[in-house]
Amino acid sequence: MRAYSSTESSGTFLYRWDPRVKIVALFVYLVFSLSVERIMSLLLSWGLILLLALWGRISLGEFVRRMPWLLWFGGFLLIFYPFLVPGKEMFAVSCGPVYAAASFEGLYKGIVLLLRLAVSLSVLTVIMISTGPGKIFMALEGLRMPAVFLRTAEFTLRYIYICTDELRTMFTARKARGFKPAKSFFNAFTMNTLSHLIGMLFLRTYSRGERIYTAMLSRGYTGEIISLSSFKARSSDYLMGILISAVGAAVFFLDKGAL
Amino acid sequence: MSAENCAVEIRNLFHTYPGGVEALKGLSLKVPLNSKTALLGPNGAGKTTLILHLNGIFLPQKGEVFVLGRRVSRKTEKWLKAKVGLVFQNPDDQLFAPTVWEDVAFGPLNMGLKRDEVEIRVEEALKQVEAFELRDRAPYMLSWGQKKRAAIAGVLAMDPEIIVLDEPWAYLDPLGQEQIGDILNGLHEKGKTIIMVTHDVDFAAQWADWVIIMRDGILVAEGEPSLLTDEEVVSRGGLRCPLITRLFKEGGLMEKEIPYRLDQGVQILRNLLGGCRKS
Ligand SMILES: Nc1ncnc2c1ncn2[C@@H]1O[C@H](COP(=O)(O)OP(=O)(O)OP(=O)(O)O)[C@@H](O)[C@H]1O
Ligand SMILES: [Mg+2]
Repeated sequence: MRAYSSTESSGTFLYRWDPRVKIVALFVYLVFSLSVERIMSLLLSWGLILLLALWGRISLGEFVRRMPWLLWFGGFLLIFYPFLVPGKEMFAVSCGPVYAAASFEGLYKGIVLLLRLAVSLSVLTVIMISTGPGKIFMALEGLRMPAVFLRTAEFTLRYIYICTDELRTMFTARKARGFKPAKSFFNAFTMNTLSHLIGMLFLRTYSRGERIYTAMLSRGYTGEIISLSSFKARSSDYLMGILISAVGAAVFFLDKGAL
Repeated sequence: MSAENCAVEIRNLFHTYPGGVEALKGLSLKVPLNSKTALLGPNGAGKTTLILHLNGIFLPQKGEVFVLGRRVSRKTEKWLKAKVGLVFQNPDDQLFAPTVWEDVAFGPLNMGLKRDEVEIRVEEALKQVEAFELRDRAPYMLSWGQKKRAAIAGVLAMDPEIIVLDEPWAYLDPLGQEQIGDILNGLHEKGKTIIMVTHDVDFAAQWADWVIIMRDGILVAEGEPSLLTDEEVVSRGGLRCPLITRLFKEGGLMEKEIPYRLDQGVQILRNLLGGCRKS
């Protein structure tokens, strides 16, 4: 698209890489990485993705900022998995009648899951940061993803912004009238105010959504979004795609002891 | 004014919202072709409800709407959306695509235009509102004035004959207002009909060449902007006379041909003071 190509020349190869090829290649890489079982192989494929990010000059700050999920979820996995998976006892916690034993197998499983999560999130983050939402959707469309999925995803994204926006303004408005969330979440007044806030949030996003729909109708929307997507992949795009997929495959076969 | 010279004609229009609120109760009015029309009325008068009828979002429950001489019905829907562009009060309601460029392309694409044509139109529309450099930005991260301009571009790209703006000034700074005023005047010179919904009587007096006042879902008055000097009419519409008018009226300076625009007021003051200033 003309309007886009004029700005596309900026950034490193990772940013300029045809988004369709980029998505496919990194997806192939991801599938290989998620099929390995040894911790070393997972660490290796994670490290390689981080290297890719480094090479593509993705800002470290932005990369880390999109990862707090990992800590939450990962921490959860590490703490609970050892107790959920039976196996050789590592240590045990007893509290009255409750007795729980943590196993080495569970810890191992937890670490593997954590690493898989880390690899997946890193791959997605690399794609997100280096492509930007607008072009990701166009690229997926270019890859013949069903339009329904894309529209739903697009609208979800749009609505998340609306939701957080509404929430922020409502919260600010409450604070402006002297509301201070109590230290404890279980404070009755705080709970009350917050639950009203969430109720209002639903109503407001609903009516906002209706207004957006009206505005779309007024510009001739009939339920079908027509879009102009066109990318041109060069041979260097394909080469890079093959390279990344091959590295993913290599890690996989290494893990299986075939190399 | 016959139906042919009207951009919009409304006859005895009723609209009741689900829940029973009667927003329009037999509204009739006319908007001249190629006019700069100000649609005035207090909060809740039914202005927004009315303009949703102009582009076929609402079809008349009772009564008739004519746009460019054609009676609005389910059959005219597609034609109507290309002829009448609505710019909504809140640009956040209007901008929904991931980038400004795509948002502006949304209307032309719905019109079934060819790709090249769409690209040309989007580029022109964005340049017209001086927002071309914003084309790759995400609309929800723009400033209010930028959003507003992007929203207007989204409508201009469809090249409508009639452009309706709901409260375009809300939250805009004076420079932003001026900028949008200039854009609208440019469109008017190209032969478009502009309808602007507003509460701002001073602005309406200054800008419009046709004024419509409505209240409680019916017409209070329509005509040349000089009708804004009629205190009885204006207060029936729940509004005040323009400041310039009040200056001359309350000051007891004029009996007839009371001014309502700044330049008229200035002219009169010049004439009055002319002698003193020279001496
Ligand atoms: N979606 C809706 N459902 C029910 N009632 C509505 C809805 N939208 C508007 N109304 C009611 O219809 C009446 C006219 O509203 P409308 O929004 O057309 O007024 P307005 O002239 O645009 O006001 P404002 O200047 O405040 O924007 C009001 O009484 C309003 O409460
Ligand atoms: Mg309104």
